[in-house]
Amino acid sequence: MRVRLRTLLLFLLPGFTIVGILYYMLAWTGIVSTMDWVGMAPVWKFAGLKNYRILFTSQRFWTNVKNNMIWLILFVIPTGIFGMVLAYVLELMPRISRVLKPIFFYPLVISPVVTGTLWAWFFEPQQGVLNVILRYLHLDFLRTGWIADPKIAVYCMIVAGIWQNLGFALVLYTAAMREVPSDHLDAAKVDGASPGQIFFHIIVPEIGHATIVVFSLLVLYTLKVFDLVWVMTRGGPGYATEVLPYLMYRITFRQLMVGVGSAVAVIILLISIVVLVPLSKWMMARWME
Amino acid sequence: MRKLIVLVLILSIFSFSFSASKLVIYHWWTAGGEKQAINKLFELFKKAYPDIEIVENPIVGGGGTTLRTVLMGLLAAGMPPDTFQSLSGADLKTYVDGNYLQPVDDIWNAQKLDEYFPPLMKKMVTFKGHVYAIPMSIHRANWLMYNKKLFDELGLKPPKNVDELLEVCKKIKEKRPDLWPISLGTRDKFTAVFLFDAVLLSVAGPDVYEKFYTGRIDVRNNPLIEKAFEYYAKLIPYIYPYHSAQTWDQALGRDDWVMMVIGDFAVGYMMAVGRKYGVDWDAVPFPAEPNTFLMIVDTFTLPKKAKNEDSARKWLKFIAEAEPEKEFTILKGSIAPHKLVPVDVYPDEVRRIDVKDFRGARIVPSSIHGVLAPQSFLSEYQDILINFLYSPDVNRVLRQIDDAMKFYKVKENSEWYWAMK
Repeated sequence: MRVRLRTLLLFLLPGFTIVGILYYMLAWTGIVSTMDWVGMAPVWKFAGLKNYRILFTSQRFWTNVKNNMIWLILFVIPTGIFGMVLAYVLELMPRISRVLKPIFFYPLVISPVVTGTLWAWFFEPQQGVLNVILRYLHLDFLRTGWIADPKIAVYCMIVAGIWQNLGFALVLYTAAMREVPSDHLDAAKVDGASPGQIFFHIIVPEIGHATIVVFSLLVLYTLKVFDLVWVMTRGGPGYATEVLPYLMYRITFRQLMVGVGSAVAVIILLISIVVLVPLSKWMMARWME
Repeated sequence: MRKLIVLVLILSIFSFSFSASKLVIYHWWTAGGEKQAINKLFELFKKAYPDIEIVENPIVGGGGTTLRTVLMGLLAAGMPPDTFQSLSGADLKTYVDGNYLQPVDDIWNAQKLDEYFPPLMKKMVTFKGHVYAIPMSIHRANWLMYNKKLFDELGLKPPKNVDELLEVCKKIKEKRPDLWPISLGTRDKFTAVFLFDAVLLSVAGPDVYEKFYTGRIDVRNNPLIEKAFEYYAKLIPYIYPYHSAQTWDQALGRDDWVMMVIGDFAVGYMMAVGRKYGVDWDAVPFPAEPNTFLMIVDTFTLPKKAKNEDSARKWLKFIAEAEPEKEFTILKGSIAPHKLVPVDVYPDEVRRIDVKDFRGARIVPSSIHGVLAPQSFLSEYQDILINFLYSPDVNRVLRQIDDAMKFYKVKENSEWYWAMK
């Protein structure tokens, strides 16, 4: 059956429209980021790179970038690697994995608002679970302000993020590992390879395509994380745990500086491109045939 | 053909008689007592105007932060509600600057509000010589609530100024080192400003307070501002150290709470958690010297291009009257600005003192909810104060505030406050 181009385009039209709106909004944001729009009503006064200059000379902005980088490294890498290792270990123990896999997966389906609230309570310095347990175990020297301490609050949030998203990495890696041809594994076992050697020399290379997906999506998650930050600390104490998406929201909707907020949005997009494109290229070169 | 015309005429006559006019109203009173209060107001309005159908749009989010986000889109799209709630001062000004509101001088004059409201109220809703909103509910931000049981046990009297506050804190810490004399919850951020405002009023007085928040003080070189921050720093050892992990109500709800600088809106919370006034807790205006009323105002506005402008005007006239204000504020936990509302309608002593002070003491708009300073500055300022609480460097904080005031053009954006004499 030959499909006419006209029919094809007609069916693609709804999809194109939605994508078109998306790109329109992207372009609109980019344009607004060069406008001196301050206040409730739109202001179309061209200001060049003024909004970007304002951000680059603001200490608060750089604290936000630093926090996003901390998230990038301390959230993405552990989540991806733990997910991979966990998937492999559970594959080696099928009976236990039947019980443990759902347990690791449940946090993923919980709303981030619930996750954030639970972990905020866990890390609450006076009556939170963690400090109460430490007090009970006479480990008082380990008790600290946790979520109320500007220096370590961001790490508490990353723990909550890893807890929530580990299941995601686990599921994708499990599926990828099941696709590894069993004769590869059998051959390795026959050659006397240990589980560790099998993991590093056969499993990791052959699940490379899943690694690309997992790490890319985790990177995107960290550059967009807003809900956990909002629920757990509101960017506090002060702005110690603020991240770029939160900054964008605050500048645009609280301070009504829409031009500067749009500049933050563009910067998030640029960081995403700068991080993801080389990473994806490298991963694809390494692991895709 | 003729039958068709007659049918259309009959149907259109029917549609006129059945169509009720609407009032599309946006507000943020969604929690507990507030919800009851606004429902009571709607009930009374329906009695007065049975032919107007109220289409309510409550948007959750205290202080209207979420409502403002929603309205930004609606107003820019040219689809305003018929009326919406707003704070006064710099917050209201953002709508006026966006050219989204109509003046309501005629309603203000028709309801003789010059006679029934204190002059400062008009100042907080007047821009470019016109009134842009009708106020209808007042809260006070500078109350010091204290744990009466503990104070009686330790033989303490509530402090009247910041020197006495430090004394009381010292005594409490000596006798009960396990307690934190000043309860604070800065998860909400604005509470850090509430505490500082009380200190600033006590050290520098209301005139300097007004000038400070409207950018008319040389922050880096003013000895009173420096002194206020030195006192703020002196309080830090007595403040609960993990304040950023709790909201104000979580801080107040703890069994080991001692003192908190908070607004009268906390009275409802105290009652809800079962604490008895005069037994478990008590409150004094703070500072008592000079006695200042830090005012928070809720208003309603008249947007341009409102579909049911007539209904909106009726609503604004209605809420400016004594009886509806009385019924609303009794349930809300606030006080009515209207002079004709008698002081004894309020069941609690806190609000009776509020009314007396509102009518007799010096009124100054609260910086953060008043709204005295521009929101863009305040959003940054809250965090500057919280950072100070974690690392008190007076020179640095003066520099940061001065830079922020210049950056957000606080002086230019606050000219409106001084325009009306």
